[in-house]
Amino acid sequence: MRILQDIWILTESGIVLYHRRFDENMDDQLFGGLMAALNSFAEELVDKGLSNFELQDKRYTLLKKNEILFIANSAKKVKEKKVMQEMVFIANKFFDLYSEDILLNWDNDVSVFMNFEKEIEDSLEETIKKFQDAFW
Amino acid sequence: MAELQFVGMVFETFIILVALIFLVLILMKYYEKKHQLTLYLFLIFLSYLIGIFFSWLSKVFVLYSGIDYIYNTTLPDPSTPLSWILFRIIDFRISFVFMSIGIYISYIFKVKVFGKGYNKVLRIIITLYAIFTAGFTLFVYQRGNTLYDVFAFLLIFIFMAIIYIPFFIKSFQSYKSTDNKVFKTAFLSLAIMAIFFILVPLSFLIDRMLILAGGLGFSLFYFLAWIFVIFALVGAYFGYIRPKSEK
Repeated sequence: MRILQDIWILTESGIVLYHRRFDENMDDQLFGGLMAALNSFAEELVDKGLSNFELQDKRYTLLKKNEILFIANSAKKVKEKKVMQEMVFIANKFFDLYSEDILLNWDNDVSVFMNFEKEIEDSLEETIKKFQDAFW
Repeated sequence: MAELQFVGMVFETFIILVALIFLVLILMKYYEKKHQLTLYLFLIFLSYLIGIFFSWLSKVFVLYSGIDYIYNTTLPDPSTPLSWILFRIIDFRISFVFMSIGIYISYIFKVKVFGKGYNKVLRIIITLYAIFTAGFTLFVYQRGNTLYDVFAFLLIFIFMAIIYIPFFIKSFQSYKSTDNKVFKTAFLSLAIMAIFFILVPLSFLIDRMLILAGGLGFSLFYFLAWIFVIFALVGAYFGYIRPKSEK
């Protein structure tokens, strides 16, 4: 996962199941709620809902699969196709780890999804963080 | 021949000084950061520096030790423990052992900094290769047999390539993926460092092959190898030491 920076995984209602962020100045549940609302509004307009939007130098990409919304941001210059490939990888990893049973019987405890970090931890940001901690 | 040995010794003295400065910079960085990765980096460059030191020592022994069987190859090997060690220093075998250690620590470093964890099979293969390389360079030795030297250089070159080609790829991918100018420069420097690290044993290997073909040694490739060491150190400096980031 060398392209994606921040990642959010949320339910249709906007509850954030998992997030990985490097900018801590944002409330995740608030962000999740906003994204879910935005996507739901977009779905009213077009069939597939919102696929991406841009804020300053970042592009936010959305992927909906099995009623779960995957959102990630990346640098604008990164090709959309590449971003989508990684998002699909993340989504598949997520559903591999958390079966339909787990998701259906989920009791709103987000700590269940904390282990997901390990599955996607070789990101560019993680590498940069290691370099910052050890050298820079 | 003695003149070439002397030029080589002077050249290597300069390399040792530069490498020593770089090692001190890493040590200072370690005291600042107190991080395991910084320690690994220190151990990598310490191993390389010791390797270079023994290469330098080989020339000092040939030029100044006064031990006749060292500089006069027609004299028989006295087959003493001291001669065993001296011959291995002179033919860079001790240097290779420390190079192998440095490359092996580089593998651990690469996995920790870029990877997601060890691939068990790969880890076993690389560990066995490191042991084999160190063992071969130390024990498969025949005085004056350049072919064995070529094999030893080849093993080191392959080992270096196995570790530093993926390191180059990862650094270059990171360089391409980030927008931050500081990080971009640092990753590019590390990619350049990796390339030069691979070129060093390759140049030494070519130098040895030229000896096998009848050359005197100390060819252009010998000096190129040491120039590549300097370039690699410059890359390492701009990759590890120089960048300052705002967290």
